[in-house]
Amino acid sequence: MSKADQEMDRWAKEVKRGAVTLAILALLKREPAYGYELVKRLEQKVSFLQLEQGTVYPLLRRMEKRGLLHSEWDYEIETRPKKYYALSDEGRRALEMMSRTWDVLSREMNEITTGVGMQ
Amino acid sequence: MTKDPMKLIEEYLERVKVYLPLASEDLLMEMRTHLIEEAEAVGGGQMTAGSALMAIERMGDPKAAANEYAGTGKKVGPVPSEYTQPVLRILGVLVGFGIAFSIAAYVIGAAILVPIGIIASVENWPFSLPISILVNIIFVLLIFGGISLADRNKMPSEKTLLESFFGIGTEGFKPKARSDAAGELVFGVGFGFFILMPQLQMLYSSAFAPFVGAVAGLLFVGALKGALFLVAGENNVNLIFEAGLGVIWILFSTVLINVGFPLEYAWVNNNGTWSLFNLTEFFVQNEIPFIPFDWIWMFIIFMIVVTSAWRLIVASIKVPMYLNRGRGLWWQGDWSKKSLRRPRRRTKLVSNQNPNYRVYHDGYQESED
Repeated sequence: MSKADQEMDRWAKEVKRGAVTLAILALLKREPAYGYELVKRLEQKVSFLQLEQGTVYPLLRRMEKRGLLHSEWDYEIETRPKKYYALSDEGRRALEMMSRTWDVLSREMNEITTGVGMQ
Repeated sequence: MTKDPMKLIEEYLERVKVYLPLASEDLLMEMRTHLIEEAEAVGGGQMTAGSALMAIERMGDPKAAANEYAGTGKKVGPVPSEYTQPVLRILGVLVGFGIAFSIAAYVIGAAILVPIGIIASVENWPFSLPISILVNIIFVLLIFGGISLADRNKMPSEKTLLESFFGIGTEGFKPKARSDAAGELVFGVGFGFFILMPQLQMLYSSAFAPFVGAVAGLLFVGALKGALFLVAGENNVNLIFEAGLGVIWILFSTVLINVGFPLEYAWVNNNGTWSLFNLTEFFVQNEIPFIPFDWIWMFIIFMIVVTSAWRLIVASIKVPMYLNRGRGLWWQGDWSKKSLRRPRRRTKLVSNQNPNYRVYHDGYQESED
């Protein structure tokens, strides 16, 4: 692996770490979802993130612990209970702020990278 | 031979559980649902043994999956992060049993063995305790290393010897089974009334007779504890209740052991006539050199103290753990089961159009009611 590849790996990991929280909050704003459902939606909608399935669950728990999400068990099918996650008020506020910042960031980054022939 | 896909998933989750912190039932339920749905997705809407294996393979090695999904896995000293939980738990069990047995041995030793000169004293108590713990830890590390060597050639899908060994730690901290709680209730009430029967009062030794009421009272309290576990499963109130009762039993045992074997007589029937029969005299008259009653009593007291001390240790680990998780004191808790917890409460959030019964390709059937 070249140094450029290694650098790309490092950079991608850092970008993903920040982006996945925003992606999860945004997806949950549309409707509550349980772990597996969310993993699949992330796979379909944000290919760049390419998340390991084991990454989403601890992240959901951490976000719940930080008060961004709340959860409720659905025992409709007893053999496969589902823990539904939804945005809390704090999560909604965090999403608004993060989305605004993301918009600004992507616009400014576009301006910078376009100028050097990267777009 | 084709295996039940659900059995494959349950077996895998039992292996994952070994590496998870205590009280990870919610996480296991999430993983279980994930595996079932992934297996169905892989199998084109139907779960087969093959698709279940594929889903399991995607989730990965049990210890890695446990660490990823739980988001835990801090290295403690020389113990690799993925082994931290099971090693700590198995050490907890060994140390806990060590302490429980030491307390029981102390009660028995101090009360019976020392006065009758079988041993001079309990050696270096309580300084012998850390030494016995250290010896236990060395044994664990030796066993751990030996088993790891034996597991080297195992396939990833096979349960390893190490996981079987770590399973002891999981078993040691399992919540009480409902059948055990029911057993405590029935035994406590039944035996409590039994020892209070007038026909039995005549059989007790004069030293034990004043304590019969207290023993019966503790048995009834034990029955109440069994009833609470039967109704509400494991929660902090029940654990504290059990630990408190354990302390009382340990303290009371130091008295009971000195009281000696409770029965002096037994009822015998001679040609239709009931009469009292002196147990010790029988051995003396027949010149039987070994009178077993004190040894039987010592064993009973030993077991009472071991189980009480173990319950006290388990409660002292679990109660702070539940409090840290914000569970408070009282909630509808779980009981130990062979398979993973099946939820009792029902929270309906989404509509469901699934059929009541599902039959899979390989003949596996699953009720969805």
